[in-house]
This record gives sequence, C-alpha cells and structure tokens, in this order.
Amino acid sequence: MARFKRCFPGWPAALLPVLLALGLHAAEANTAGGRLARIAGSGALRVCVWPDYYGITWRDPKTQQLSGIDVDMAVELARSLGVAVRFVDSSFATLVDDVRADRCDIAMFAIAITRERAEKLRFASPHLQSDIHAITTKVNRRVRDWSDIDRPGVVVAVARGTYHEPVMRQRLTAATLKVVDTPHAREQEVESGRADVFMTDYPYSRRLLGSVDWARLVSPPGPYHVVPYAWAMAPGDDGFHARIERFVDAVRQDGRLVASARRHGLEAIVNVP
Amino acid sequence: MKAPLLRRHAATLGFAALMLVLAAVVAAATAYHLVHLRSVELQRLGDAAAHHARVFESHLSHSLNVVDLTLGNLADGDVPGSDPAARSAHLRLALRHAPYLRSLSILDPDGRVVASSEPANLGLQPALGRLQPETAPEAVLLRFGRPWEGRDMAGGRATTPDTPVGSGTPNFVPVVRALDARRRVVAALNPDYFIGQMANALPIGGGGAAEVLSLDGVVWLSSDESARAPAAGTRMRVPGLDLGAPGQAAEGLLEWARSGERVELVAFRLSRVYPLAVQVRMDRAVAQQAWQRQARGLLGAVVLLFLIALGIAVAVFRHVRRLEREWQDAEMRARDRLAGVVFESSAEAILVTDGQNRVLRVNPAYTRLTGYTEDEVRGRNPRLSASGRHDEAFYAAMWRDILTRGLWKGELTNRRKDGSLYPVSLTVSVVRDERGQVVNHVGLFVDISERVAREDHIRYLSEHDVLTGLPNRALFADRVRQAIMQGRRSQRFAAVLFIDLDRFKAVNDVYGHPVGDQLLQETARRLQAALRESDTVGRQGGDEFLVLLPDLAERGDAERVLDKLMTALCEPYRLGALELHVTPSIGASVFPDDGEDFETLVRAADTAMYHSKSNGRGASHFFSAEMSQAADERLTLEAALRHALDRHELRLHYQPLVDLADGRVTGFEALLRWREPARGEVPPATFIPVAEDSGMIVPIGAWVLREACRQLRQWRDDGLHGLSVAVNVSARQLAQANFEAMVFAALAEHGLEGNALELEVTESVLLADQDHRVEQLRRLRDAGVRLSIDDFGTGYSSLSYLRRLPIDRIKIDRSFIREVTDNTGDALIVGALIDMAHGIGLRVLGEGVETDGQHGFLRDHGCDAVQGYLFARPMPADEVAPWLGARQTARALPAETLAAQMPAAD
Repeated sequence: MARFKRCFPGWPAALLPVLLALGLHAAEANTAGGRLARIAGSGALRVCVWPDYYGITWRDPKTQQLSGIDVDMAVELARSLGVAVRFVDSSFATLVDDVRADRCDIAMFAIAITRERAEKLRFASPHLQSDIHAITTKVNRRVRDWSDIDRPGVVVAVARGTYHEPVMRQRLTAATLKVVDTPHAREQEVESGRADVFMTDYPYSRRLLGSVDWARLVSPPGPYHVVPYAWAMAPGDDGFHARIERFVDAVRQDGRLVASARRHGLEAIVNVP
Repeated sequence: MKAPLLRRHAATLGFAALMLVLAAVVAAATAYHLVHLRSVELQRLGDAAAHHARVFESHLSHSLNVVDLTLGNLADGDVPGSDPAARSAHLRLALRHAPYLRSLSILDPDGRVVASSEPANLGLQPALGRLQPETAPEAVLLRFGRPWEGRDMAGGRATTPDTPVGSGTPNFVPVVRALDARRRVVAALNPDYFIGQMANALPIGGGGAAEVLSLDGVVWLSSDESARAPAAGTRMRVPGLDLGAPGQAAEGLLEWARSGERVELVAFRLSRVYPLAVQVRMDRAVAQQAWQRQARGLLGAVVLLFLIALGIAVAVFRHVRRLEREWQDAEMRARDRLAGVVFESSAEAILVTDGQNRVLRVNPAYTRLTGYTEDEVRGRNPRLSASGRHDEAFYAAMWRDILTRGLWKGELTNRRKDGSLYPVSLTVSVVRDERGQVVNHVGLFVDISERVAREDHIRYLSEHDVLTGLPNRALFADRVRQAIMQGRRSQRFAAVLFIDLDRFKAVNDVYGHPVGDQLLQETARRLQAALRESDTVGRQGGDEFLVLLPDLAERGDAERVLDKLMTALCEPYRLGALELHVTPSIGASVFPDDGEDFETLVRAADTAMYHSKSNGRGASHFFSAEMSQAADERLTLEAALRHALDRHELRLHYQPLVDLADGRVTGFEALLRWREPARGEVPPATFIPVAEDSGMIVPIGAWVLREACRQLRQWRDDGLHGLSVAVNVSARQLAQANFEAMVFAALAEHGLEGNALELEVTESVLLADQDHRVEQLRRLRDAGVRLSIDDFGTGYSSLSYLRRLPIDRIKIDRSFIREVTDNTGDALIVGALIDMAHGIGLRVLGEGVETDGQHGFLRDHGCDAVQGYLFARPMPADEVAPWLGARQTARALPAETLAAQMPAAD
C-alpha cells in the first residue's frame, strides 16, 4: 500500500499545470463567436449531464428529478447568467462529441481532467477531486483489500472511455484488465463473477453502495491516483470560459460549493482553497 | 433487658426470614420465566431457520426457473452453423440482466463448445459427467452437474467429493438444457450470487449459514465463512437427514450436535421442481446468547426491583423498629423515672457500687441513716461504714455468699459518720452483665435499732423479774452454768446462796402485797449493794432470792460474803411509815463440793436454807449431807400429813385454863396431836410448820374447830357445864373469806353459843391494818366469841395498837413466864404487861406455868388466868371428866400439894 505512495509522490499535482496549459492552448484555437451572447439570446443554458452520476448529476428513477452538486451549480450558473437551465443527457463515452457538437454549452458532471480530454475540451478550474476506488462483491473471498487486486487470476473491470482505463492499464502488472463498454456492464461483470472488481471514483462508489446490496468498497490505503474534476466546455470562446472561471471562483469563495457538497455527501472531495 | 433483646433479635430474624422467602419466591418465578424464555428463544431460532430455508429455496427455484426460460429462449436467436462470433454476442446479450449466470455456451452433438459468451470456452469439450436428474440427453429440462472449480469451463475442472473446490477459488455449477436434438446449452451458474443473497438475508454475525445441496448431499454452495465451512463439491450429511430418501418430508427441523460445544439447529427444504435442497443451519448458542442477554436484562431488572423493594421493606422495618425502640425507650424512661422515685424516696437506704465495689450512688435514705452524702462516699469502698464489731471471717463468709449465690441477707452493725453504731438488716445483691461479669452490687439496708431494742427488752423481760429487775431463774441458771464452766477451767470455787425472807408470807398477809413488793425490792437492792459486780442476784420466786458468787478462791470467801449479806438484810426495813423487822434464812452450796450442776447446787442451797429456817430462822448454813437427810425427812413428813386427816391420825388434846382468882377451870385449850403410824407421836413443833408451809393448815384448822365444838357439846351432854374451848387459828385460816361463816356453822352445828368458843391468834396476824379481817373478827366477837392473842411478847406490836382491835385477852408467851422468877427484867416486863393490859381493858393469861413461884408471881401481880403443867398437861378428851372430878375432890387440899399429885398427861 505504501508502495504506491512512494512510487508516485505528487504526480497529479505536477502534471496538472501541463494539462491545463495544453487544454487552454487547444481551446483558444477553436474559439467561435460569443457563446454568452447566444445563451442570453436563447434565454437558456444548455448543460450536459450524466444522469447516472450519483451525487453529481443523478436522476432519481422514481421521480425523474435530477439532483447532485453539479445540478446545484448548473442552476446557480444559469441564475448568474440570468437564463434558464436546460439539462442534456450525456455520458463519459459521448462527452467529447456532445460538447464539441454544441449539443450543450457546458458539460457539468464532475469530469476528470485527463490528457485525452484536455486535448479536445476546455476545462474550468477543478471544483472536486477524487481518487480511484474498487468495488467487489461481499462474498468475494479473493479480494479483501487493495493489495489483493493486482494478483494473478484477478479480473479487473473498467468502463471504456473513463480515465480509469488508461490508468489501470498502465498500473496493473499481474491482474487481468477487462474493459467493458458501459459503466453498468462493469457492475454485471463483477456481480456475475466474470470479474472480481471494477474501478470507479468516489462519487460513483457512493452511489453504488447506496443502491445495491451485493457491493463492497475496496479503497486504496493512500493516494493512488487523485484526479481533479471540473466542468468542460468546447475549446475557444475565452469570454465564456472567463465567465465560467469567475463563477467557479465565486462558488468556491462564497460557500455555495461547500454547502452543496455537504448536502450530497461529497464534502470529502470538494476542492476549495 | 435480655428478654426484649431476644425479642428484638427474633423480630429481625423473622423479617430476614420473610425477605429470604420473598427472595426465594422471586427467584423461583424468575427461574421459571428464564426457562420459558430459553425455550421461546430456541423456538424462535428454529422458526427463523425454517423461514430462511423456505425463502432461499423459493428464491433459488425461481431463479432456476428464470434460467430455464432464458436458456429456452436462446433457441430462437441462435442460428446453428452461423458465425460463432455472432452466436457468442447473442449469448452475451442474454447475460445482460442475469447476474446469477456467469456464462452461456452452446454445445454441438459432440459436446464441443461451438458458441460461448466467454470466448475462451470456444472449442472446449467439457467433461460434464453425470447430470441430475438422469434422463435422456434430449429431454427439455434443466439438469445439473457437479460443481466446477474455476471461473468458467475454460481453465476449470469438475470436482469430486474427494477433490472439492479449493478455498477462495472461483467455481460454478454447470446447468445443461437441450435446445433441440442437436444443440445443448450449458450455463455456468454463479454461486456467489446466491451466497450473497443468502448472506445478506441471514443475520450478520448471527452464527447462521445456508447451503444448497444436491439430493445426494453434494454441496453446491455455502454461505458459511467459518473454518468449518463445507467446500463446494464435498458431500455434507446432517445425521438423521437423508435428502434423497424416498418419502423424505419436503421440509423439517432437527438438531445437529457437531461437536462438544456446538449444536446447530438445521432447517431443510427440498425444491419441488429441481433435484436440490436448501438447508439453513443456526448455531444454538445464538439462541443461548439471546436468551442470556434477555436473562441478564431480566435478572438485572428483577434484582434491581427486588433490591428496591428490599430497601423499602428494610426502611419500613427499621422505621417500625425505631418506633418500637422509641416506645420501649419511653417505657424504659418511665420505668427509670419510677425507679428513680423509688430510689429517692425509699425508706430503705440504697447503695449501688460498681464491679470493683466502688460506690456509684446512694439514696437520701442512705444519707439520713449514715450521715454520709453521696459526694462523700462516691468512689469509696462501702466498708467505710464497718463498725469493727465483726471479724474478718464474718465479711469473708458474706462475700462468699454474694459471689456464689448473688445474694446476701443478714444483720450487722455499722458505724455512722458521727461514729455511733447502729444495727442494720442488709441485703446485698449482684448485677451481672451478659458475660456473667459483676457490674454492680446493690445494697439495701434499714436501721433496725428499734427492733433490736425491742427484742433486747423482750429478752430482758424473759430473763428478768419484773418486780425487782433481777435475773430470773432461767438467766440465773445460765450464769451458774457459765460460772461452773469457768470454775472448771480455773479450778476455783463458786457458791450459790438460797435466801428466803422469814415470815414474808405473814408480811404479805398482814400488810398486803404492795408492802410485800416494796420489801422484796428493798431486799434486792440491799443484796446487789452488798455484792461484787461479778456476782449475780436472781429472784427465784415469792420471797426467795438466789445469789451466785463465782470465782472464789476458797470456801471462806463465801462465808464472808454470807455474813455480810446477813448483816445487810437484818437491818430494819423502813417502808414509808412502816418499820419492819424481817430476818432472812440463808442456805449456801459450793461448787464443786456440793454439786457440779445448777439443779444440784440450788437444791443443796435450798436444803441448807430450810435448815436455817428450822433452826430458828434468821440464820445461815452451808449445805451438808445431813441436811439433805433432814430435808428428805421433812418431805416425807409433808406427804404423810396429807393423809393424816383422812386416816384419822389427828386428834385433839385439851389443857385446862385456870382462873387465878378462884382456881376454877374455865375452859380448855384444844391442842393438835398427830400420831403417825410409822413414827409414832410427831411433835407439833415439827409438823405444824409443815402444815403451815404446805397450806394444809386450812383444812386441818377447820377440822380442829369442828372437833373442838363437837367435844364441848359432848362434855355438856355428859354434864360438864361452865366450860369453854379455845382453838388456835392461823393467819392463813383468817385469810379465808369464809372463815367467819365456818365458825358460825361449827357453833350452830353443835348448838353452842358464841361465848363457848375462844379463838387464839398470834400477834402478827393482827398487825396489819386489814379492815376486812378486823371487821370479821369484830362480828365474831359481837356474836360472843372471845378473841385472845397467843404467844404475846414475841412479836413487835405494841399494846396501844391492840386497843383498836376486838381483843378480849392476851396470853403472855411462855418464854417470859419461864424466867419470871429468876429474871428481874422479865418480871418487870410481865408485870408491866399485866398492868397495861388491864389498863386498856384486856384480861391476861400466863402460859407455861410450871412452878408455884410462877403461879404466885402471876397471882400477886393480878394476872387473870394461867395454864401450864403446874395444873395439867394437855390430855385426851376422855380424861377431862375424870381429871375435873379429881380436882373437885382436891379443892379442899392446898393447891401446892394437889398439883404435885396430878399425873402427867402425856
């Protein structure tokens, strides 16, 4: 367990400025027209969300109502812009397409800032951060804790398109990595016994443990791979981006972010000064 | 204190016993409830196991039903002979919502995997072994193989009971269903799914586990995570349960003692459709623990409630006890007050000391009695009151009694603060504590001075004569005995004197008892005055006194004392106006010569005294053996005299009384004679005193009077006229109240007139101024009876005194007459007597005339009459007549010669 900490000290923090710089650079190249003006003109802010993201953007299957910290923030953002908010369903697999195809003005569902994404999208300053966590079944006797994961015969499932896929592919040495197409598929693989664990982040693990009775959380003993979460926009349009940045600063400063995180059980990962 | 203490203990014990009984009842009820609770808990555990078995079996059967449907549906979508990748994708699609299935594979008639959701399975030809239930391969139903080790058929192996699934290794159960004659589908059943379901349903940490088994007991899966968990593929058989037995009940519950301590409740349920069963095992210790938890709670509550109840009961009990104690204290205080009042106001002195006999308290009576205040005696020993009158042995005995019997009662003498002594009646009792240690002595005493004084007085009265204050015979006897003992020790003499006052009876008779009493008192005084301190004077009774002279060196000492006493007693007694001359007769006896005991000594002294008396009175003699004989003689004489009258041994002799003027015989004096058959004639001087002393003189005197009267009557009847008869009368006779009547009766009986009788009395009889006697004599004289004084001159009365008495004549005592011719003194006296008697009108007779000279003298001096031997001795009555006749004849002859010729009378 201590091994991870020693191997990768401060890795995410050192990488972050580089990633941000790359992202900014790419965004500037794709700046097109005044998005703020268009939003004001339409009177609505279109926000991409992944409605299965518990605590972030979660649509209750019974009421079909969205809730979560980023839903709260989207509402706040729309209010600060003086427009209505309109949520657009998306996912990590379709994120880049959805944003770049202008199916929404901004994607607000705690998107991990990865190099791949940063090359194609422009991120606001991160307001959350999460490490990687594993989920197994309660009856699984092969994986008791984090050190049991990277062992021969152990099958580790990750969802295609998530940042876990590259990270785990890179980090696992003994275990078998099994990449499935959807986040749900990860769960089916583990539940049916075809895989022993699957990798996810803090908010998703919270959601799963609260909704199924077979799952068990296996957390890294120390920082394993902390990733900052932020909102993503289409590259370019500095004005819009700056406006979003001001908003991020504002909610981080005036306590709205922390209050909302507390409401949704995420105060452990909120990123405030 | 002891009894209430015991009672209090009894109450406490009773209360404790009641509480114990209550505790026992509560304990019994609790125990019963606990036993009941235990069975309830076991029942509940069994129910839970059965319930879980039903639920798990139901869920499993339902899931297998879904599997059956899913596999059946595959037949339509799967196109035999088409691209294996397409067929596999179709199979993966079917797994999308079936977490209980791990993979789906299609086998061709050769048993080779031709399509599979798991690419690794392709081309494999798995050895599925015997499937259950056994039937034709193409039968359209689910059939089950043995559990396999491994995540899937690729890399897996079928187990046997000997080679079960290794611990922690992925495994599955193959389920086979025919799709059609050429195709069969194999589903790898995911055991973890069911284990998870069951583990979630069974209580966490509840000691329960569930298994799915084939009917031959092979374990498909187990939720057991303990060390004794059955591995998949092994055969597990609960004793008494054969799942595959024909007619086996569909469900049931039994107990399985797996080891010494662990007992499991096993509930099982058979699937109605599939060849499998679900069993749920529950650790009975869980029920035990649940029961123990409840028991602890219950016991805690019961104990708490009981303690509270006990506390309340104890509080109430103690409150009641306190009330009771307060009541007892109040009662005790009242008793103490009462005791205090009794203590303070008791007339008895009370003294309380501690165990060391130091004074703690005394009451006011003590202070009154002893003069000591409480402050003066507190802390001191009560012996401060000791008088010193009692010796150490007395106090030692007293303390022995106090310590052994706890009580001493007695009388002793104490000393007051002022030093005076006083007798007390003391009671000492002891107060002991529970261990028997003496904590107090309580002394109660009263002053018994008065009682002692009264007792002393009574003793004094019992030992002394009231009249004289002298010791009486009893006390005197004690003193004599002491003297005898002392004399024996000291070899010295002691003397006993017996003193009798001569003629005391006459004094009493003449002057009366008051004078006699005074005489006795004076005699006592003189005796005491004349004796030593150590001598004892006692009064024997009447006029008899006893004197003890102890501690004498020789007989001579007694003689000297005797003389001294004689002198003292012979002094005249002046009693008021009266002067009496009384002489004592004294007899003395000496220890040890005359006797060695009281009785003997007194008898000897008495005898000696009689000797003195019979020797003329006014004398004293020491005892001698001869006296004893004389005394004896006198006693026999007295006894004989008592019969003399009856035996007619007495008779009268008569002596003539001769008138001097004409020589004529005027009468006869009757003189008593006694002829005792043994002794012959007894002299009157011998037996008359005996008759006087014994009182026999009264009947004898009466006889003499009657006989004399009878004789006179006889003489008259015989023709002898002009005679009278003179009879001697003793003082005792005169003292008889009926004397006068007796005289008249005697006269009347014989037809005699009063002047035929002359009564002669001695001077002393008439000395006392006793009116009734004088009156009696006067009446007799009025009746003609003449009275004369016999033996005149021997007494001390005077003639002038006689004038007041009814006297006719005096008879001058022969002692004067005897010397009248030789002794000029007597001659003068006789002459004077005659003259003086004549001077007061009394006639005079001379007694005991024996010679002519005496006869002449009396005739010359004018004496009226004479009697005596010169004329005639006393003679028997029958000689009187002849003697008178002879005298008549001789009257002519000279008197002198005639007298000489008279024969002696006796």
